[in-house]
Amino acid sequence: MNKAKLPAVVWLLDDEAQVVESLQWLLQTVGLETRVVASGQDLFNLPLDQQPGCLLMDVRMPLTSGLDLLEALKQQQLLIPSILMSGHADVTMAVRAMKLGAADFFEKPFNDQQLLDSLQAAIEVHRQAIEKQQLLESFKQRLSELTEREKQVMLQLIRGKQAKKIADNLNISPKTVDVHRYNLMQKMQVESLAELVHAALLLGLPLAFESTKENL
Amino acid sequence: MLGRSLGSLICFYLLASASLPTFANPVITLGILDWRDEAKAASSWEPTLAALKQQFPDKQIELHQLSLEGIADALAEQKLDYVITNPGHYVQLSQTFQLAPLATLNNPFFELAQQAVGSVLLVPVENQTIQTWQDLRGLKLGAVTFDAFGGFQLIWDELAQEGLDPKKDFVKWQLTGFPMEQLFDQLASGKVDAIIVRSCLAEVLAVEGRINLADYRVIGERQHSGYPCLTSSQLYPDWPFLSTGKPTAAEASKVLQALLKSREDQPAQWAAPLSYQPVYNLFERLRLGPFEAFPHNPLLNVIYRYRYLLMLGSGLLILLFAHHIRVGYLVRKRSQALETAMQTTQEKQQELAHLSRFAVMGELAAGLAHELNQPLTAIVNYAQGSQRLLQTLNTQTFPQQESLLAVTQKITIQGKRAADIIRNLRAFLRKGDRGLEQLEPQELLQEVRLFMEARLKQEEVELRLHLPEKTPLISVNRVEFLQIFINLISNALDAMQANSGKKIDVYVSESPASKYLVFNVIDQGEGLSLEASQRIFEPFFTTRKQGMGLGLSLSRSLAAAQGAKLELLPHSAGGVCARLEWPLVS
Repeated sequence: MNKAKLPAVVWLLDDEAQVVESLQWLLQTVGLETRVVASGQDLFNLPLDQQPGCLLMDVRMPLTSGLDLLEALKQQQLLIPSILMSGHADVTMAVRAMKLGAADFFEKPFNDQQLLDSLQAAIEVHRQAIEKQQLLESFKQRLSELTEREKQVMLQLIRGKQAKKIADNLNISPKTVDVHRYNLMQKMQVESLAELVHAALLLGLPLAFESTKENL
Repeated sequence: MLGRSLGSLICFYLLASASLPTFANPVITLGILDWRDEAKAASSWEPTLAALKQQFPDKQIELHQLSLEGIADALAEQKLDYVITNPGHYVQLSQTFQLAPLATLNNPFFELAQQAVGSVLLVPVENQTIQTWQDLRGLKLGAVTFDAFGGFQLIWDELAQEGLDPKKDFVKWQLTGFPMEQLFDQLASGKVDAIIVRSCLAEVLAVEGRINLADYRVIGERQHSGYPCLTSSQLYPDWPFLSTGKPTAAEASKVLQALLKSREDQPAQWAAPLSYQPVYNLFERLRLGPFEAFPHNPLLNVIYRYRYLLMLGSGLLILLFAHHIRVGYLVRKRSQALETAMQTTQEKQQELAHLSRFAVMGELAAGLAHELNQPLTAIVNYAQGSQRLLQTLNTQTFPQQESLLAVTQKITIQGKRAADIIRNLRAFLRKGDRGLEQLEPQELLQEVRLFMEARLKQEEVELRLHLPEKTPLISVNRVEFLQIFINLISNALDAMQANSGKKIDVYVSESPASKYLVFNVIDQGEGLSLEASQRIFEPFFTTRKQGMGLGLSLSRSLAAAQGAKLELLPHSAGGVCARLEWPLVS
C-alpha cells in the first residue's frame, strides 16, 4: 500500500470548538479531509504519518501549549508538518515556533487562501517525506534479502568497479560476478546501475572515494 | 567739712600716764552720735571710756560727739577708729563704709537686747482729738530730722503700714534737729501738735525731773513684754559699737575685750553683737539707705531684687527658646527628608502601579483578543467558506449568487476589521519600555522587598531570601521583573491570610549547566485545588473573591516575553511553590 497516494488529512487541534467547526467547514469546501484532535495528549496515539497531512493547531491552549507539542513532535521524529495559529501573536512567539520547526504561523483570523496554500504546501512536503521514507524502508527490506556475497559485489559495483576487477578482489571468476550482479539487481528491484547507486545513497552506504582504497 | 558738729567737738584728754605717746599710733579715736545734750551724752559713755582707758594705758582716747552727717564725713576722711551710732545710721553707713559691729549696747533696762530701740509719738494729754494715726492728718508734727532712726524712721514705718505717707503733705513737719529734748519744749509751747521721740527719752527726762509723764499721751501704743518704756513702734536692737577698717585686728580684739569686761560689780556696757537684719528689713520697706535705689513699685521691686535670678532665668529661657527653635528646625528638616523619601517611594509605587495597570490592561486586551478572536475566526472562516461555495454555483441557476458573494465578502472584511481593532488596542497597551538590563538578582529581590515592606509588616509575614553566595547577572526588564515578583509575593500573602506562621521563602539557584536561574517562591498557604492548579494561568480565573484573575496570567506573559518560564507547583509542606526559570545568557 502506498501511503503517499492516500488522500490528505488536516488534523485540527484547538480548544475552541467553534473555531474547529468553522475550519472543518472551510476546508471541506476545498475538498480537504479534516479530523479533530481532542487534546494534546491524544495527539501521539494518532496515525499521523500514515497518510499525507498537516497539523493545524492553536498556540495558546490549556494544559499543553502548541509550542510544547511542537517540541514533542520533533522529539518523536514524526514527519507531519505543523501550522500554528494564534489570536495574539507576537514576534517572540513566531520566532520560537519557526525555530521549533513549524511549517507556518498564522494570526487569527486568517485569509483563507493563504491558509489553504500553506496547508497544501505542507501536505505536499509531508507526502514527499512519506514517499521518501517508504522508499527507504523498502530498500532496507530488499537490502536485507541480499546474501553476504551479493552485498560485497554491490558495494564494489556502486563504487564503479568493473566486473573483472571485482572478480580479482573477491577471488572469484568474472562470470560469477555477473551472476551475483544479476541476482542482486533483481532483488533490489533496480534496472540500471544508476538506480542501484541512487538506492545506495538513500540507504547511506559507504561511497566515499577515500575509503575505496582501503577495500582494494 | 564736719559742719556744725565740728564746733561741738569735745576732746577728752584722758591721759593714763604723764608720758607722752611714743607709739606710732598713740590715739584711739571714737565717733559717737550726739543725740542729746552733750554733757548728758558724754556722761552716759563714761563706763566705755573707762574700760578703754584701762585697756590702753599708753594711749590717748579721743571721743568725738558728732551729728549723723558729722560721722559720715569723719569716716570719709578716715579720722575715726571706732564708731558708736544708732542701728539705722549704722545700716545707712554700711552701704558706703566697711563697718564691723564689735558689740551691741548692753542696756540693763531691757530684758531683750534685740528689743531696745523704739520710737514713740506723743501728744499732750489734754488733746483728745487725736486718737489714731489717721487723726494726725493735717496736723503739725515735730521731729528731729528725717534721718533720725528712733526719732522718725520707726514711726514712718508704722504710718506706712497704715497706708500713710508722712512725707507727702499728710502732715506739716517741724524739724528741730538734735538734741531731741527740745521737742518737748515745742510741744509744750503748742508749736506742734505731736512729737516723735525715741522711746525711753520721755522716761529718762521724767526721772531727771524735766518733764511730767502724765502730761503726755501715746498714739498707736504698743506693748512689748519686758520693755519698760512707752512705744508706738516695733523694737530694734540697741546701738552697735563699730570698728572701721582703720584699726589692726589685734587692737580691735583688745578693744572688744575691754568692752565686754565687767567692772566694779557693774555689768559691762557692751555685749556680743546682735544681728541688725530687722533694721535692714525696715530700710527695705522704707527704701532707705542701701535700698534707696529699689523701686517702690512692688513688681519692679521684685524684678530689681531678683534681677540676677531673672537674668539667669531669661538667659535660660533664651537658651531654651533657641533650643526649641533648633529642635523645630531639625524636626522640620528631618520630616522634610522623610517626606521626600516617602514621596519618592510613593512616586515609585505610583509609577509601578501605572505600569502594572498598563500591563493589566494589556493582559486584559490579550485575554479579550484571545476570547474574541475565536468567534471572529469562526465567523471569518464560515464567511470565506461560503464565498468559496458560492463561487462554484452557476449564475443561471442561482441568480442571487453575486449579491450573496458580496455579502460574505463584507462579513469577512468586517470580521477581520474587528480583529484588527483588538490587535491594535493590544499593541498600543503593550508598547512601552522593553529595554533589558543586566541586573543583580539580589538587588532586584531587595527592591521587591522594599515594595512589599508595608504589606509584609501589616500582615506580620517574614520574607526570607535564600541566595547562593554568588549569583550571575540576569538580563531583565526591571519593571516587568518587579511586577512578576510583586505579583507572586502578593499571591503568597493572599494565600496565607488564614494561616499563622507566616513565612515566605524565596530560594534562588542555578539550574544544571547554568541554563536558567531558578527562583522558587514558597508560601505556607492553603495550596491549590486540582481545578485551580489546572486553570490558574488562564486570564480571568481567580480563587479570590476580589481580583480580576489577571495577575498570574500577566506574570506568565511578562515572563514569557523575556524568555522565562513561570509555573506553580504544589509544595510538599503544603502551600504553593511558584517556580520562575529565568534564562541565563552565556
